[in-house]
Amino acid sequence: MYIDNWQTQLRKGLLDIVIMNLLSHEPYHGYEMVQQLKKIQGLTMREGNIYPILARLEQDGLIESYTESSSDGPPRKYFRLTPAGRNILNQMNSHWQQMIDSIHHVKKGDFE
Amino acid sequence: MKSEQLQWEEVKENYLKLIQQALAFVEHPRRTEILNNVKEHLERKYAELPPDKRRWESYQQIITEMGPPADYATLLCDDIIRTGQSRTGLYTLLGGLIFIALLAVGAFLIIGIDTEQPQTAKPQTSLFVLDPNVLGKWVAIDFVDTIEIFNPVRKSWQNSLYLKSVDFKKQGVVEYCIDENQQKVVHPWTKGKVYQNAAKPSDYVIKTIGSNTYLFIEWISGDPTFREEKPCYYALTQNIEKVPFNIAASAAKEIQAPAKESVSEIPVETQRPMVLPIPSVQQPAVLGKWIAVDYVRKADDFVPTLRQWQKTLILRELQFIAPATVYWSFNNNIVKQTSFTESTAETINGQSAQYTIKMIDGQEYLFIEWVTQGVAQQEQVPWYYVLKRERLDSAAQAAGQSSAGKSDVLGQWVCVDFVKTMDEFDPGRKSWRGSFYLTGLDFQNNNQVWFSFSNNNRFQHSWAPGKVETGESRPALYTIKNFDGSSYMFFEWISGDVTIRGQKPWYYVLKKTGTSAASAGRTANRKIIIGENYCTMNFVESQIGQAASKEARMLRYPDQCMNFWFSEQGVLSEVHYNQGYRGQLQSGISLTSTAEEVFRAYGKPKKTIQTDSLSKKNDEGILYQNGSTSRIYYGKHGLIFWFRDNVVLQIVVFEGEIPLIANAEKKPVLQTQSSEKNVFVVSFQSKAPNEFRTSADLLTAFNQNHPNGVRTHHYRTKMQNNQLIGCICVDGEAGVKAVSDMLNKSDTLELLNTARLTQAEFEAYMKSGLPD
Repeated sequence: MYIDNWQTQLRKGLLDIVIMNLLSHEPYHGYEMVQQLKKIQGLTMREGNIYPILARLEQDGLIESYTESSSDGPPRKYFRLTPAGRNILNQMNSHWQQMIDSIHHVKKGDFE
Repeated sequence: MKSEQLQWEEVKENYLKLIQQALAFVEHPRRTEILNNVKEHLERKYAELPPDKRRWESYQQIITEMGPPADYATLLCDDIIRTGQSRTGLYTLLGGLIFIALLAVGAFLIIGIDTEQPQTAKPQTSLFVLDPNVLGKWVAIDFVDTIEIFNPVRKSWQNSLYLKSVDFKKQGVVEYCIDENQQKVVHPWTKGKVYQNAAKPSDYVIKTIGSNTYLFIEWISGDPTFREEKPCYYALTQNIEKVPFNIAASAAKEIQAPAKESVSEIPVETQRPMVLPIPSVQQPAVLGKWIAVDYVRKADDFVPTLRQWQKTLILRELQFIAPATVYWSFNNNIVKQTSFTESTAETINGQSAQYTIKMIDGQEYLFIEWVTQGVAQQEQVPWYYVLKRERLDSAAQAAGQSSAGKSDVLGQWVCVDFVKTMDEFDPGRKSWRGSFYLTGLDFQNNNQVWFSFSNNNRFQHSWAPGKVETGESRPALYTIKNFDGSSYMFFEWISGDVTIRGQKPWYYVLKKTGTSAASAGRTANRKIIIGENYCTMNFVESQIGQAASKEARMLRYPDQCMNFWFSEQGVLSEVHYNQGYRGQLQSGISLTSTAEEVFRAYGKPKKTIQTDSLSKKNDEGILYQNGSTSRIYYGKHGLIFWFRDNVVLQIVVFEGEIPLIANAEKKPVLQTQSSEKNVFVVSFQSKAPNEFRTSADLLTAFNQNHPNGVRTHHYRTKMQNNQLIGCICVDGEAGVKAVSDMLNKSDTLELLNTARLTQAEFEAYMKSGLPD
C-alpha cells in the first residue's frame, strides 16, 4: 500500500518533466501523448491527467498550442515546447539527473 | 439515436460535469480549455470503440482510465506550490507533491473566493483556519430542511442519500464521497465553511445531541444558488453505531432534551445489592432487538404462554448494538442510549442491570433486572423484564441454511416484487405497487453477478453461496424458494436504512427466467420461443443484436421493423412485426399479404363486427373493423393480424417459436435497404452555435418537425469545429426532399448537405457510425 502511494505521488510529481521531455522531440496532441506514454513502463498516467498539466504548462509559457486539421475528426490541438520551455526543461533535466546521482550516492553510503 | 449512444452521451456528460464541478474552484484561465480537451479526448475514445464494444462496461472503462475528476483541479493548481514562497523547500520532496498540492488548492481557493483577489494573487495559507473538531470522516445519515428538525432517531429523508460521507483533512481540503458510485470530489474548507459551490460557501456546524455529535453541512445546490431558496442540510456523524433506528418519531425531542419522566412506577418489592459497571466488551449473543413480553418478580416465574404482569409494560424494547450500545425504548416513545457488557447493561439512571438469556420452547428470552434509582438506593432486589428476541432475520438464517447450490442460482433473475418480509410474498399477487429500481440479477459462473437497474445502469458484484458482496458494510443475503414449480429468489436490499440506521432490509423477489447472458454462447443454438423462461430481454438481444431502444417491457428494433414485448416476469410474450419487414410466416403470409390471403391461410372470419376500438378484441376468428383498419385474432395459431385497406399492417405473434425469424435472415431489412441503394444521409446542425449540446437534444429538435410518411433511421452525431452535427439516413428521394424542406423551414436547425449512399458507403456508415 505504501509503495503504491509513493509511486503514485512520484509519478504525479514527475508528470511535468515527462510531458516536456516528450514534447522536446516533436509536437503532440493530448490524445497522442497519452498513447505514447502508455507504451513506456512506469509512466502510465490517467488519461485525463494530462490536460490540466498541459493547461498549466501553457499558461506558464513553457509550451504552446496550435491547431491542425485532421482527416478523422475535428482539428487537433498540438502542443510544442517554447524556447523558454526548452530552457526550463534543460534545467529540470539537470536537476533530475543530480537527484538521481544523489540518491545513488546515498544508496551506496557514499557521503563524501 | 441508438440506446448505446444515448448511454455514452449520459456517461460522458456526467463525467464532464464532475470535472467542471472540480474545476469550478480553480481560478485558472485555462480551465475551460481543459474541459474541451477532455471532451474531445472522450469523443475519440468513443470513436475508437468497435461497434460491438459500445456498451456500458466499455464506457465505464473509458471513464476509469480518464481518472478521478478531482485530479484535474489538484493537478492544475500544482503551480501554486512553486509560486508559494514559504513552500519552495518542499518542492523537491516529490513524494509529498500531491499532498502539498491539496493544501495549496485549499488555500488558494479560500483566498480566491473570499477576497475576490485577482488570479495572479499569491496564496496565503495562513487564511486557512484549522478546525480540529471537524477533522476526520463523517458519514451522512440524513438530509433535512433545517438543523432544528433533525431527529437522530427518525430519518427525515426517505430516499437514498446522494452525499455518502465527507472527510475533512487538515490540509484544507474536504473529500466528498457522493452518489452510489462513491465518486469523490474534493473541496476546500476553512473553519465553519466548505467551498462546495463557487457561488456560495456552505456553512457547517457541529452539534451534540444526546450522547452523539453531529455535523450539519449546508447543501448548496441550484435552489439556493439560483433561486435563492434556503439550503437544506446533510446531517452526518462520526459515530454510526450511536445512531438509533427504528424508533418512533415522537421520541426525537426527548432525545434532544432528555426527559425527566421517572420510570420508578414499576413496583419495588425487595432489596438488592448495587452492581458496579464493568468495562464494556462485545457480547454477540445479546446483539439484536428484544421485545418486552412480561415483567416478573423472579426469572423462574416467567411462562411464555401466561403473562404475569397485567399492567402496561413500560419498557417496550431493547436493542443491543455492537460493540457496546443499547437503546432502551419505552412505551411513551422515550428512547435512551446506554452501554452494555457481556452480562450487564447500564440503565438509563446510570445503574447496572444484570441480564441473562434463556432458551424456552425454542425461543430466546432476555431477562434483565429492572433497576430504578429507588431499587438501587434502597438496595432492593429488582424484578425482571422479560424480552423476546425479535424473530431472526429469515434471510440471515437462510444464508446459513440455504440449500441453494451454485447451479440453482446461476442464470438470470427478473424482479417480480419487493416485500418487507419473505412471508409477505404471494406469487399470484404483486405486493409492491411502484416500479422496481432493481430490475434483474444475472448470476454468472465466475462468481460475478450483474445488477440491472431501471435506469439501464448495470453494476457487477461478486457472489458466494447465500450472499452477494455489494460493497456495503455487510453482504446482501439471498435465499431461493420454490412456488408452483418456479424458483424465486429473495434478495436483501441493503440500503442506507439498513447499514446506517440498522433497519431490517426489505427483499427484492426475483423469478428465475433463464441462463446467464454470459453463457449466451451455450444457448446460442436455442431458438427464440415465446413464453420460454430463457427468452428474456438479454437472450433476445444476444440473438437479434442490441435493441435500438429498451423500455421496461419492450425491445424496439425499428430497423428490423419489429418489437419484442415481455411479460411482467421478463419473459418474451409477443413479437410485433411492422410494415417493412420482409420475412414471412410458414404459411407464406407476410407484411405485404392481403386479408383474403390471411383468411385463406388461417380461416375465414366467423363474422365481422364494426367497433370504435380494435384493441383487446381477442375473440377467436372474429374480424373487428374500424373504418379502413381491421383486426383478427387467431388464438390457436398464436397470431393477430392488423389490416389497413385489406393489406396486412402488422403481425403479432404471441405463441411458439418466432416463425419469421426462422424463415428470414437476420436483419433482413438492413440488407434490403443497402441493396436498394436508395438511402440518403442528411446532415444538419443547430442554427445558433451549439444550441443543442447533446445528440439527444439535437434529435429531439429534428423530430419536432419530422415530415409525415418519411422513414428516417440510423441517426449519428459528430463534432465538427466544435459544433454538433447530426446525420440521419432517409429512405428515397422524396423522403430527402421532405426532410430538406423541413430543415430549410426550421427555426432552430439548418441543412448542411444531403448525399446518396452507395451500398459500400451505407455499410461503412453503419460500421463507423459516422459519415465522412
